[in-house]
Amino acid sequence: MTSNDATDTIDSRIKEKYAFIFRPIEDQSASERRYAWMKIECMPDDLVKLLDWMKNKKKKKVVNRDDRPNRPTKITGVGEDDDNETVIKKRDDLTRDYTEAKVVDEVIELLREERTKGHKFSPQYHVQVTSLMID
Amino acid sequence: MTIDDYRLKTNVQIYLINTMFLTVRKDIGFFTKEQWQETAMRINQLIDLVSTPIFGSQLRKALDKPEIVKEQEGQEKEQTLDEFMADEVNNEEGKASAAMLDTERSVFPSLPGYAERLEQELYRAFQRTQQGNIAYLVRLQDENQLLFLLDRMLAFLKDFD
Repeated sequence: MTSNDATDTIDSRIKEKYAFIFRPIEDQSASERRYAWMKIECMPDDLVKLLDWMKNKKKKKVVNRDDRPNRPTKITGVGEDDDNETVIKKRDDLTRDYTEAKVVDEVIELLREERTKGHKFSPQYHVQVTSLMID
Repeated sequence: MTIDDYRLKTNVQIYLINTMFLTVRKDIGFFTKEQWQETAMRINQLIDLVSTPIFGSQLRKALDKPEIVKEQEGQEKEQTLDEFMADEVNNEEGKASAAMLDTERSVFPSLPGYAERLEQELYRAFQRTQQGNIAYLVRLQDENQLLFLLDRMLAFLKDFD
């Protein structure tokens, strides 16, 4: 018997027969604990059936956990839903058109703020951008 | 070009020059010839910009305003620029005009500051370059450029007493 043959339901008599499996390991007797080291091929058919049924039950539980509402958002990969993708803000100060005074004002304010904060302030970059504005 | 364009351009130019002085490489410790010359060129451009008649009239306005106020109010005590600005900031209209003339007012203290810093950078370069080195002789040419720039600056500032 293979795991594919495992049905959704299991005979209650098998459950009763192997009730010790459902108990915590501390409560099992020595002979009952020995099943843990047994090869699957050497196990009785009904026990294998029971184990397969238990495995399927666990898998189903995991699937159900993913499907529940209000679950935390997952990181999406390429080709998946774009809702949760991280948007990286890219600076395009060196390619912008500075013929409009509004744009110049906006960028110079941004640069000033950056310089005052001192965070990620690169004088070389600022010189490049402002030279571009003037030229 | 309108006065607002001049103002904006002057603002950007001042910001650029201020930032250029921060680009001194830490491993060398002074301006390289190229950096120094570019900064001097930008200061020359700034002088060109503020010497235009349109901007010149605005500069005079920024300087003359304290005297106008004095005449209007008939005060005997001479009002300094700082006092005038403090008074101006108190009222709503003053706030707008003070902000408008901020760029013009920043030109006067900036220019001598730039001259001092350029001179300092050149002095540092002379100190740290070997005297027998060809680079030292090449750097000596910058002294001439600095003198020309100072002459221009002085002539500009003399116009405004």
